[in-house]
Amino acid sequence: MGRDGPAFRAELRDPQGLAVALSRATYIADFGNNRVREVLPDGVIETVAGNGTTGSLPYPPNEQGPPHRLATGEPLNGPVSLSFGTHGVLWIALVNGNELVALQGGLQVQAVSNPPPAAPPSAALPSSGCDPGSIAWSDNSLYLDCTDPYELYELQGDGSWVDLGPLRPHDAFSALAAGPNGEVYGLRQNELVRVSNRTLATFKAFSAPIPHLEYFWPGGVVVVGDDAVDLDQASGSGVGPSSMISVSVAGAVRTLFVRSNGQG
Amino acid sequence: MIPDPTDEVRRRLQASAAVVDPLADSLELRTAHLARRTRRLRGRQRVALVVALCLSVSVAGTLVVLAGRGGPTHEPVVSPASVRVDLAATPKGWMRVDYADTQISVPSSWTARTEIDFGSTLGGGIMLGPSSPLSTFAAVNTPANPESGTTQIINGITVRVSSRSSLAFVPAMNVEIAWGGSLGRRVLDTLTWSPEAVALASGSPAIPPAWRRLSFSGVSFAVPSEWKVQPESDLLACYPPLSIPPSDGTVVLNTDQRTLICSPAGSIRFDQASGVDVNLRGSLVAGAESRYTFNKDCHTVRSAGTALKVCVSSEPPPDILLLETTLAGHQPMVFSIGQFGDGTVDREIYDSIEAAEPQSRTATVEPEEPGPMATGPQGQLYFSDDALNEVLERLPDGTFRVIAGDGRAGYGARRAGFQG
Repeated sequence: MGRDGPAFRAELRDPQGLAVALSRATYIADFGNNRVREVLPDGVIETVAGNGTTGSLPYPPNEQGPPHRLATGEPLNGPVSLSFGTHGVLWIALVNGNELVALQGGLQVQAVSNPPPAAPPSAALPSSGCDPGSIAWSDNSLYLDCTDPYELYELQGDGSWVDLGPLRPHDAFSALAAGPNGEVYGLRQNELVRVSNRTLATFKAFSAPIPHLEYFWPGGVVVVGDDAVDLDQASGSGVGPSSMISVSVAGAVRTLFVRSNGQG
Repeated sequence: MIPDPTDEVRRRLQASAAVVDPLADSLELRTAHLARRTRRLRGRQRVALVVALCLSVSVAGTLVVLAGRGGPTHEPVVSPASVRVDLAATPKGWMRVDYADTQISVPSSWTARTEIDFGSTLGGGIMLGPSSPLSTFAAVNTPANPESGTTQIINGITVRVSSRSSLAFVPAMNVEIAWGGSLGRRVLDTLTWSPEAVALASGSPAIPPAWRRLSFSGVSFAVPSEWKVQPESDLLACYPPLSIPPSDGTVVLNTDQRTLICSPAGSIRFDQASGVDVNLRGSLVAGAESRYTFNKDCHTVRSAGTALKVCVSSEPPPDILLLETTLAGHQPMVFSIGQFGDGTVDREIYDSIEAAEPQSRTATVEPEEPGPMATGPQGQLYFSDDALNEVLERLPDGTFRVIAGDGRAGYGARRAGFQG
């Protein structure tokens, strides 16, 4: 781990999921580089996990690995989503490696059977066929949105997973967001879905025209404060122009940005 | 009646002036004239040095540079290697006083007066002596027409001591030292180089890697990592003639831009502090800055794609390495670096000054393929853009700035002068 330089002069490759620590450091799932990068509050970027290779972790799935492995020395196969859990542990979803990785103090622990708060933090994947595309911690529960199959899972205290139902973001990774009251927001094609008490419910369907937008199939979602959810759409998804909207708790929609030429 | 120390020094300097320049009928006229002359002579010396060096190269084909960037430019005969603070020159119980390249030591009970005592016409200088009576004193100032005299070597430094008056001219430092009383000559014997001279001497910078780098108004500099930083929004003290460095190991980044009126003249503080006081120019004592000419050792530091001009005051207040930085798009700043110890710390701080890397790129940027999102602790909205290979922040005004990524797909960071 070293201070690489000013973040705005650093190179990234296909950045995906983000997470912001209480320290105001921003973490980036640098998907194409198979690394996780950290942008410190002073604007300096560092690599905090991943050695750039795509190999598997050196211990089999669902087994406890050595608890103190330097994160920058380990492979990180396709990081796409990040979320902070309890005790400041940063969780990383590896879509290509079919793994979850926990990072703490520059050290990495592979997914195993027992969830937090037991130390070291760990979790087992719900099935060998799940490709983790999004993760989110909310109210001490870990939610996992898989891409194969497109299902949302919640981790139980005993290390098992509960299948909460289908959730399919449109052409996107890292499309889960924790709410302020233990709920989780996810995406299902053109819908914003609210997950509470293990129940999925459509919170907002973007079928009606939005000002400046004929279609809106979101790919990114984040909860802003207590009363709004912001979403974005990439034109590359083939639905509409790159854009960003805000949805209030009452369901009102406000357009934040629409790419001027409508091109992606 | 006890003579006023200021009057005593004024009388002696006037007497000296009458000998050297009978046309000058007042100290004010003489010192103003000499200050102007000194500046002209310094300029000529630099030109002469360049000509001499060119001739040396053309004739001998060999060039030995004795004073390069940052070295004492007014006296090219001095080798930078010989510029060092002789800490042993200070008698026990005495204290060191620095003025530009010069350091002398005086009894710790003495106080100092600056040019404010003489009005604005002395053109730099410091007078030292007991508060009362002033039967003994020493004064250091920029020279006028240096008197000829016998050559003496004091602590390795060549000094020309006048045979007619208690005056000594130090060619390498371009200062004149006047003294009186029984202790005056003892003060002269403590002569050595100041930490400022060490800081400005040529050579390769060697900034300790453990030092921390600070940025203020576009300018970056390094200080020992254990020093505390004290952001200052209020100018609490008003020391003549300019702000005095704070206590040891403190960096004050002064953001106060009010103009304060201070009472003139007073005894300056003597404890040599190693702190740094950085101020936006125009924020200091009313009119104080105008008395300082930043024309010494000017050089340009190129970093972060821009050019930072750094100039040192040729006639600074005592115990301070005073310099000004000028960076396009930013207000000029005045650095007051406390002269301290053997000058090593001063030198490293001075060498570390460069243009700061901007913390973000705020030029117009438009998202192309916005993707995963996150919020910061103050509600900042961040998102990845995998087409731009950047992470952006949406600002409250609806514009966007780059948090990470330079737009190119790859791995790494260009350092470009960055020191972490």
